[in-house]
Amino acid sequence: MRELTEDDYGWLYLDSLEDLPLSKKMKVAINLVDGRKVFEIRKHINELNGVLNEKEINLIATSYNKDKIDKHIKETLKKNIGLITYRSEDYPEMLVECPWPPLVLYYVGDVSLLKTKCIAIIGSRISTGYGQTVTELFSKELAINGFTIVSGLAEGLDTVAHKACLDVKGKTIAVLCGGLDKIYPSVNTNLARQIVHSGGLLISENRIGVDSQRFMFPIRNRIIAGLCRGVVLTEASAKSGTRYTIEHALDADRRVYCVPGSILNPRGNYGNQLIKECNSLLVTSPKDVVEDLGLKYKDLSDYNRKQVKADVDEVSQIRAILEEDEYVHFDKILEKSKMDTKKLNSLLTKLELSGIIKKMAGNLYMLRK
Amino acid sequence: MLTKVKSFGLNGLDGYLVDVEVDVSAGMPSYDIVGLGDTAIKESKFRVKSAIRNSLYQFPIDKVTINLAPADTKKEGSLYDLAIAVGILVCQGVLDKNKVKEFAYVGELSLDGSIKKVNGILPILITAKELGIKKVIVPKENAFEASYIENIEAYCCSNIIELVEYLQGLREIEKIEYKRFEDIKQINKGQDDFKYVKGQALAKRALEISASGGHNCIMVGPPGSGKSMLAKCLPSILPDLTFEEALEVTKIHSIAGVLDANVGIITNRPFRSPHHTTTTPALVGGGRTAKPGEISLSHNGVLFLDEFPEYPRTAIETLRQPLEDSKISISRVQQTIEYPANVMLIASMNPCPCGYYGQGPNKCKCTPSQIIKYRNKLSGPIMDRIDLHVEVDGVNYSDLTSREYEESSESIKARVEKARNIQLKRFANDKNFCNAKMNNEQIKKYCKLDEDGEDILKMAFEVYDLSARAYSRILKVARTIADLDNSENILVEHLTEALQYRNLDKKDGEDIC
Repeated sequence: MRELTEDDYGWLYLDSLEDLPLSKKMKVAINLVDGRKVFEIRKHINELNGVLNEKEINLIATSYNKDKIDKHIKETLKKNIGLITYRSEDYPEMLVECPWPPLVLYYVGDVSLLKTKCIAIIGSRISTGYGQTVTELFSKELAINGFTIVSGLAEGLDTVAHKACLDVKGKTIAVLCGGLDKIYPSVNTNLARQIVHSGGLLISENRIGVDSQRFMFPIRNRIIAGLCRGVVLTEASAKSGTRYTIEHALDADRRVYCVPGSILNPRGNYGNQLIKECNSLLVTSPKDVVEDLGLKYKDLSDYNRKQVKADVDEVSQIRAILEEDEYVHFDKILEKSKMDTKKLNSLLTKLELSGIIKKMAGNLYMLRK
Repeated sequence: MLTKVKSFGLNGLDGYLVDVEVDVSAGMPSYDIVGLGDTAIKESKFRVKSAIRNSLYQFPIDKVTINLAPADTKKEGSLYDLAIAVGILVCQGVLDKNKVKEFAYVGELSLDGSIKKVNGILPILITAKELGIKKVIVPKENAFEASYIENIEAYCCSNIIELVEYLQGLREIEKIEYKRFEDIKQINKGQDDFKYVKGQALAKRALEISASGGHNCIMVGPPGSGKSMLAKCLPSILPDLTFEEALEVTKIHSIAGVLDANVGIITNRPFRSPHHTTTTPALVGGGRTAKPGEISLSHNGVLFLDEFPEYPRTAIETLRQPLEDSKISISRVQQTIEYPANVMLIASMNPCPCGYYGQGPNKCKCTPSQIIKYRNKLSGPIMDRIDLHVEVDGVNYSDLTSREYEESSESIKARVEKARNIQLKRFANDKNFCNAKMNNEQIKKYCKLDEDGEDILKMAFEVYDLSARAYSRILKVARTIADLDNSENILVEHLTEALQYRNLDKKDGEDIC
């Protein structure tokens, strides 16, 4: 890691002040622009536009302790976690533009990804098979089209988005909530490791040792929205935390894309509501997203899996049965196709391996596309 | 005066000859039993004394010493009562020494002189036969159990007076007639049949495969989906017990004291389903006297563990070794006993803590991490030993009421037996006799794949993200499916079907099951 400058120390110091609310810190940052000014805050009171009151200015002016910050930096680096600050070279422009930039970003992995073209794919934790399939589709195709997939490493659709991206060897950024030494949720520790190994990136604005707490997730979501050119919402219910991401994205003038869900299923409600009420775009394929951002769409076909040999008539028969409904149960396919169990079993595996169908919990099957 | 009377003791599943030596000599009246007896044996002197007196014979007012030889083996139970009483009566001159010597005696005495049933008659008779003892007196209540051993004369009587009069030549007592196992088997057919299970084609097929290859199987499904019912039907498609197997099973049940006295032999493959509050010793055997546990009681049959993740972790983990070796040795300070435990483990569990994962949208409220946590209750080594994972799901009303024909257990059983015969031939020179117990070498030898098969398996590992340990199990199951198809080689069809039964092996918590 590069030498830390006086500027970095300034931001680190400002960030470390626990008694100053985050919103004020960010306003100070936007107004001061240079971290060195933090140390001479009294000289630059005019530039602050009255963000701080006298007590807060006093706090900033008096409580600087270089040893404490040095110790913190040392501990962070010891855990192989890097840090960049507002206005440092690696700090992404996209975030600088935002009305609420994080002062310090801690990272593990390839920090240069922050400056690539990013797109967020987000969804709720509890999902339907439809949501999973859609998320997978968008994540894969957008990754192949050269986007860095940004998500929150949460359970459910976030995980699906990260994994799908890794599947096609794409780059992905996970924006975490707590400190990077405490991966949350812990079930995804392995996934986080995989992301780093595959040249991806984990970032967080919180210092090491900070636990993820409920109230922090909406705040974290502003980074997801800020980093990206657009946010794709694949499936979320009206109560989902993704709505904060969307709000921030709209705030920062990012593109918001929604994949429509079933009107009967509350799990997909929020996307539909957005389409109806807000200025968000309805997308039905990754192509829509790519072209909306003014890029040329690359087909997925090169990345298609190998096909497993199977009888063509039988395959089209199964296809026809699956087209009738969103999900079809094994017993129903059995009844309609008039095959015997062992044959159908074998055929379904072949179709699943070829990526034509997806097996869901409860012996349900659905067509992928 | 000294007398020796033959009786039997039990050590694990085997009986051994015990000489009951009775010495009545002049001296201060006393009554001692030596030979490492447990409390039941120490107390037997009161039962014997009262039984003799209440049968209106004289009990000696002398120094009575009883020795149970071999004297250095721990003995337990009440089965020596009868032999002790007979010995004393010989010393009293009531019975003729030479006549008494023709028999061995097993039975517990009641204070009124009647003879009560004891556990372990079957292994005792088998030992008697091996030792060349031709005639054995057993309690009347054990008569059924004693009737399946050929070439041995077992007599039964219900009280001491009967026995004494018989030995004095004054009357006859019932000689137990030899019954053929095959005849009994027909009468005691089980009730459960797959034809009563509606729908569930996938689960039935999975159970057919596991019955054919001896594979352990886990069923995952919501409450009320019929997992227990399916498991109960499983014994009906397993090949019939042979007499040797039946004897083995009966021995264990006899020792554990859970044998049905009215039949006397186990004719159907055992189906045991201990509740999930079971303790570890109850499951694998143990206790002070090293009794057989559920896993041995279900030897040659099915051990069904309903709500698998609810069992205490330690109890489940102890199943590792017996599932691998088909036997379990229980070591206690005083003894080490090996019980057979060749079982098919059928387990069932819910897909998630609330139980409704995958049953239509919005039914399950569990988060992915809750689901993963729930499934992680089952350790890798245990899941390693379960070859088939199958999803069972809720039955619709229309399925329940449909009158459509369902295949009966009998026709499934015919296929299973065919597949088993192929395996018997295959493993004629090996120790194991079913696909599930193949070792790595045998898998290499018998589960060769063609090029297409290799390709598909490789692809499946990538697509499903299977763990390495799934590999050999997929091959084993594919081998069994090929056997069911009467195919010499494992074809692509067999392999792809086998891949359907690996749901819980997929690494991520996402779309498992």
